[in-house]
Amino acid sequence: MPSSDQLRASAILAFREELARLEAEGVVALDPATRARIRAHHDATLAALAATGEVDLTAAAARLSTGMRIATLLGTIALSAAYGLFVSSHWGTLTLAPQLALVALPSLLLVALTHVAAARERSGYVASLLATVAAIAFAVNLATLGQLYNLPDSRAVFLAVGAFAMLLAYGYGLTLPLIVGIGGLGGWLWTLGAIPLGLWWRDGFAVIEPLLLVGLLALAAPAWIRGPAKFAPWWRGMGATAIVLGLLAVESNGGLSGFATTNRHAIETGYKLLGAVALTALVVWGIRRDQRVVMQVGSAGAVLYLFMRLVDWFWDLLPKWLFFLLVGAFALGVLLVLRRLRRLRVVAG
Amino acid sequence: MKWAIAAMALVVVANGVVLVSAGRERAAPANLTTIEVCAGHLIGGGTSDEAPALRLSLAPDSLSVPPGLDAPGLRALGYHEAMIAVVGSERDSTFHSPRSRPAWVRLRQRSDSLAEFTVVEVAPRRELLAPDSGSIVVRGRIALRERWSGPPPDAMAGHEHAAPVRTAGVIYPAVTELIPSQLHLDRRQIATLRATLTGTAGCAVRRQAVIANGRNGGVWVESVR
Repeated sequence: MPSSDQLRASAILAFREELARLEAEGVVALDPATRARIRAHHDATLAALAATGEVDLTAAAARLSTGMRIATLLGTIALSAAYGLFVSSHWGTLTLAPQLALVALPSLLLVALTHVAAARERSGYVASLLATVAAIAFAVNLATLGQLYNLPDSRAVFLAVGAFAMLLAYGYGLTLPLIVGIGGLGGWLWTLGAIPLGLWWRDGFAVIEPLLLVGLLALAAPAWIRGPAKFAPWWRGMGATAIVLGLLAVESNGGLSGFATTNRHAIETGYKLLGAVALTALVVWGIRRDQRVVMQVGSAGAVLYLFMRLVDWFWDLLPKWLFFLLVGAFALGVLLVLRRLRRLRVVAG
Repeated sequence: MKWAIAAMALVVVANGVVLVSAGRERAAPANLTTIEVCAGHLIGGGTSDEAPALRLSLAPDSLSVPPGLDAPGLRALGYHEAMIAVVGSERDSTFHSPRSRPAWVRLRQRSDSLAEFTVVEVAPRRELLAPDSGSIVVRGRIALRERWSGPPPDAMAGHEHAAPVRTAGVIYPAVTELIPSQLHLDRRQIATLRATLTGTAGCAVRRQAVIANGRNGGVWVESVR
């Protein structure tokens, strides 16, 4: 997702291209002084944005940035795997003190390295990689302590790792740790649903209502958590994904509801109705608020939801060829509706 | 810098809490139990990538219901009356197994050839299980299972693709998971056990281990001999 700095830089570059086109077509002719003033202002703005190291001013730079993002992800996975395999291959030969040091020190060291990398390398790719590996190392640290002392597994690991990742994400404006943080804190909140039901915490993951609440919280989070503007789409995207996946899961398996001791069929019917309303609301909210990621996740969820309903209603009734013909016709219908909506938006705009 | 310090403080505090509470627990064990250890109970050690540990192997469910898994016990664990009512009867098509419930479980080692553990008592709270030098207490998950009265019927000859026929079984409560399911062994303990038990079959050769239960529910291998 492009940052606000990137959006500003792209807008300036697009403005320059369009102005040149308008002048070439004779639509407008700025006087040299005005043009020079605008140019100087934009040059200064682009220089300031480029100094942050996070904006691509050419298509080639944008392609390189994509490569850097992929390298960051692969590097994170490879470093985490290297650390995990190193620990497991030396574990049996160590006494308690080196074992504790081997699992506790890496996360501390990686936090220090994240701080140094964030100060020296302004793009944030290296810092993001180090911070994410630090969060994973902290998770390994807590899991290993549990194993060493035969502790029962606990939801507190999600809380601790989520909070740790959030500190690094908000402290240094890093996106990848933010995703780990939202996952950790969201996972912890999700499992709290096991408490009133008297379940073991892990079984909380099989109860969907808390996941729906977590999704709503994540959708609302950008409104009450101050932070970099580039974080907001991630909060909303992960919130919308939680709601969509939760609704799709529970409307097809009522046993995933916290109220599953009552009539499961009634629960599934209720969630089918709620799903229709909630998914439509997500799409409408995304369009009205111009929140692209919410609209995209909501649309994907709505299409899946409708496909599942078609299977429910027609799979046993119709010949298979007719069923798929119906699905194809339905897809065309969706396309027509979306095209009409887009036209209305263009006219309104 | 303050964010980095806060993240480091979180790591130190999380590690400190675990180490201090575990240290206190281990300083004064509440109960010691000696068990037999066979080669099949050991995990890891030597050149293995797995962390060295002693597996707590549960024996197959027996027909008798241990105290704590009878109707009042299931009620205390939070099972609904409708679920308790179906225990002991044949499963019908409307039955959906309820979610498992956490509990505290008392285990005693059997004296048979596999030296597995059997559940002798279940309670919703640890305080309800009195200390006993012949058993160990760990957490567990309780579920309602279906007991088959015989082997499931095979597909008929010549009808390999026929839908499997399922016969109803009797619903009964059982411990489905022990938490933890294995106990960590330090370098010295695993070396001692591996030195004698590696290469032996079943429980032909046995060593002894002392398992400790702490006052707050902790459990660990105190020593091996």
